Amino acid sequence: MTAGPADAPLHRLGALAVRDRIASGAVTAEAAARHFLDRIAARDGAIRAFLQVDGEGALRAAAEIDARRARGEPPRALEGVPVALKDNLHADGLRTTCGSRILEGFVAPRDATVTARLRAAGAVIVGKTNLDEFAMGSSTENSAFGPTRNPWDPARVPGGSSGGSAAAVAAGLVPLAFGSDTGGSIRQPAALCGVVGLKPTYGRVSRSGLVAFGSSLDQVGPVARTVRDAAAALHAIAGRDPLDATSLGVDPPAPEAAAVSVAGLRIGVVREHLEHASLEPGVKAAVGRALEALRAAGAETREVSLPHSGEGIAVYYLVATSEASSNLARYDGVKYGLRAGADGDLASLVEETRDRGFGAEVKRRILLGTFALSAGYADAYYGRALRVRRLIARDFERAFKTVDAVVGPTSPTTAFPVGAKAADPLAMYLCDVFSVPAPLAGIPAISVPCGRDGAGLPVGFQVQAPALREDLAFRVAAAVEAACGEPDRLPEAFA
Amino acid sequence: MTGAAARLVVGVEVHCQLSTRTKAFCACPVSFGAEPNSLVCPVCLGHPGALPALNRGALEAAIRGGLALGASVAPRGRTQWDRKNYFYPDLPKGYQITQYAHPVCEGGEVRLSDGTVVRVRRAHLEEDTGKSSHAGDGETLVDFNRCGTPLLEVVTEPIDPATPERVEEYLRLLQERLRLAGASEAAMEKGQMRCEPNVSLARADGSSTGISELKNLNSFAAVREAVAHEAARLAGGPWHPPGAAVPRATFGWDDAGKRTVLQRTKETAADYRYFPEPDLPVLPAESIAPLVARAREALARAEAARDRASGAAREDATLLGLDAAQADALLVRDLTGGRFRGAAAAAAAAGIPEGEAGPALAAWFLGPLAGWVNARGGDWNAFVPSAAEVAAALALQRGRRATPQVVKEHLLLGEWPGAGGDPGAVLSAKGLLGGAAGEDAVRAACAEVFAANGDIVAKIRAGKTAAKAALVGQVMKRTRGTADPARVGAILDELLRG
Repeated sequence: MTAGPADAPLHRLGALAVRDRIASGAVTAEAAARHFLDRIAARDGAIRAFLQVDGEGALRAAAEIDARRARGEPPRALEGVPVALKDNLHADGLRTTCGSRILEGFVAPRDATVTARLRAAGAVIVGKTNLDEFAMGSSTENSAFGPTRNPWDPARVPGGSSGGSAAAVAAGLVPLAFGSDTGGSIRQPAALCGVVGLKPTYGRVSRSGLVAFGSSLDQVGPVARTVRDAAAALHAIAGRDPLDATSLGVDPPAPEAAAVSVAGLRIGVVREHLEHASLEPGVKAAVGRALEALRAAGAETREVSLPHSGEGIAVYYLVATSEASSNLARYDGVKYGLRAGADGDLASLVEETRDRGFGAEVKRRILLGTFALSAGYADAYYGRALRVRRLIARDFERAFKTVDAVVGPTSPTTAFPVGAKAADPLAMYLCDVFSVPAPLAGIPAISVPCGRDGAGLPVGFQVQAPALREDLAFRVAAAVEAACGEPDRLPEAFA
Repeated sequence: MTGAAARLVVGVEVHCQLSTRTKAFCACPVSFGAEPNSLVCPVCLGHPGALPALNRGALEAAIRGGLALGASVAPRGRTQWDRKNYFYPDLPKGYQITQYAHPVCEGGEVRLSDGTVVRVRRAHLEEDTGKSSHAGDGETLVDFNRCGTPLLEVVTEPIDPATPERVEEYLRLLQERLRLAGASEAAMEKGQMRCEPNVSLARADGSSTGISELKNLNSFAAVREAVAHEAARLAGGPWHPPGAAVPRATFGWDDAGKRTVLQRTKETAADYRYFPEPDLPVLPAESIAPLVARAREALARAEAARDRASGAAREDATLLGLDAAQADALLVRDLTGGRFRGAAAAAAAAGIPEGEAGPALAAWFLGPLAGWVNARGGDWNAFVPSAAEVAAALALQRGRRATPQVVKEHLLLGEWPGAGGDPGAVLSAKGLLGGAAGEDAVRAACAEVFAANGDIVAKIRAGKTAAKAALVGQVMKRTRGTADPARVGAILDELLRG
């Protein structure tokens, strides 16, 4: 689906619709960039999705694109599309803060591979979006630079950790943004903000230039207004990268895959998820309507069981924190970023830098992960988590023998009020209950809007597919979008 | 109790720098002595967002090294990397990428000349750290150039019973095999081969001393001396009963004082929180099989070449009149990179008989010329004199136009004339060439020394003939070494007979 009629303003359009207008000459890349930069300047104050806006760089890139067009060069996949990056992805010469004091002042020495590929596809980088510090959180309240608000209700959170990217797309400040997903950090904010969010298969997209959180889980993916935009974005960024040894050399699906009908597909509904105690009735109802729509489109739905998915949160918070405790050891005040305690000895340099530089949630996870890997405990915690992780992956393998995709709610709730869970880490962690199994299994998962709850807040529908079968996830998500989505709708305050 | 019945037990860990052009996990060049922090990139500096990518050349070099020790490659079906976590300023990521559970090579052995078999437990690939230097004012400077340099860590089972000589021989053989395999240049003075023996004493009843880990050993001699010193020190106890946990401590070696120096005791084992490195895929054995096959072929070629060379070397050694040790160093192991052979050929071309030039040149290349090279960093590539110049110097000495002292002091250890120069001209310019005119000068010097040292002359005449050496020395000094000591002796004898 392409968002927006021909005469709609640019900010109601999806990425491909913006691209088509630029490619056809209806609007210049520079005018498109100015339009979105003006919107950010005028409206971001209400939600604070952006940490950094690079107007000068964006206009320079847009002018170059217009010059290309003048020279008669053919338009590329994302020609002129203004794009925002979560602030844990490097863009050469821009700051990468990860929402943390400890990286204050750190300027990326080069583009992330994703960023370079986006530029090569014609995208225009307009800025960096807010996130939970080091992508650790589910509400974007853990940013050292203040929280981002949900454009549908600024009293509520946008979800997280890619809350800035999701809020920016939902508010029409950019037609396309990128986030990172470790346990749901793209899909959950996409669900809470009413936009599409894709976590690709592990290895589909290079992690080079993405600041690591949980290295065996992290994947970069798009936040978009439509499923087809997400598919086009994946196509632009996917593929083998010599700078990331875990990246895979398998071609991504063509964006057109999203247009193939779901008729005849077998779709598994996870019993454990639809009966989960934390599932809000409004979410359950919207997901039920989406399932109804899939059946109406010719798909067959059947129950599947993921018996170990109940252990997902425990496993995730051991694996991700263990890896994070190691990944975040490099922030020691020696080489870059914040330096504190330099008057004392080595221990005081490291301790004071990390004490002042990291926020409470990051410290909590470093401590958790350090403990889980410690001698005498590693087997009971980290080792057992790895074993159960394999069981979770096997649950999916078994399910995919009988169904083409496994679906359910992305998040048990819609957007919750700012501060509601800030003091209760465990409640916050449970936001990820449906989203952690896919990264633990390394499989792709997409969240697509499937309507609203009683309060008018967006509900996300999650489609999980076998490894490297994003095409199946796109087809199912596109069918839900066609029946239940409203991709050209903007929150009233951002119309 | 005495230590007489105690056995020396030594396990050896050696870190060898693998011979690669670039680092283990990034494309930065590996180089010794470059400007600090000039060979770095986001990967080896541990920048956020940077990821390691395995240098297959480092893996192949590690495999060649392991095969040269008779090790098995990935015998349990795979090899993989782990993170070793600890904080130190020269460890930029806060962890070291190493191999813990699945090293690339396991097993292997090195047989010593006395029949002792040193069993190799494992050989694994890991990255080096940077270098911290502590300035006098309390500042610590960090050079990250070395970060990410690929290392092969070779760990033995305990050598039991060990001797300092066995430990040294094992290390020499290890160095030789790694060099043969093209795995490592293993130059100790450049830090390319860092040896850490773990030394303890054990008795037949199972009691043992604590374990001393010895570090900062920069030469084979230092290893031998440090192990011997530590064994003697440990013999004084304390002894721990069978089965008891024994304390471990780290000692450095003070080469000038010839003693081990306690660096730190290990009250508790460090917790490195090893876990599988998620940024590097596990390598199944079948995926590296082509690498292993290629490494085997390369090693077989190198061994065949060595065998051919040693056959040829035996013939050459006979021709050149070298003893076994000289032949091994100069022809088989070819420490001078062909320079000895070149000089011998040049000497033959200059008409000096091979049986005469061989031993003389061998003594030079293993003595003063090796000293000349060591004084300039230990690399024979830095040796400037040409084969013809070395042969010319030998001709000067052989023709008695220059004394051995002059040649040694002013050429072998001194300033060579530079490419294409004439050593004779250098000595001549300094007035150091002997000859017909020299005989008068020598006679004059002898007469002066004879006249000025009546007391010594009296002693000699009273039968203390050894005192004559003092007179010869004075004449040599007076003639700046240009006199032929044999001739000086003859003239002095004439004067003594008077």
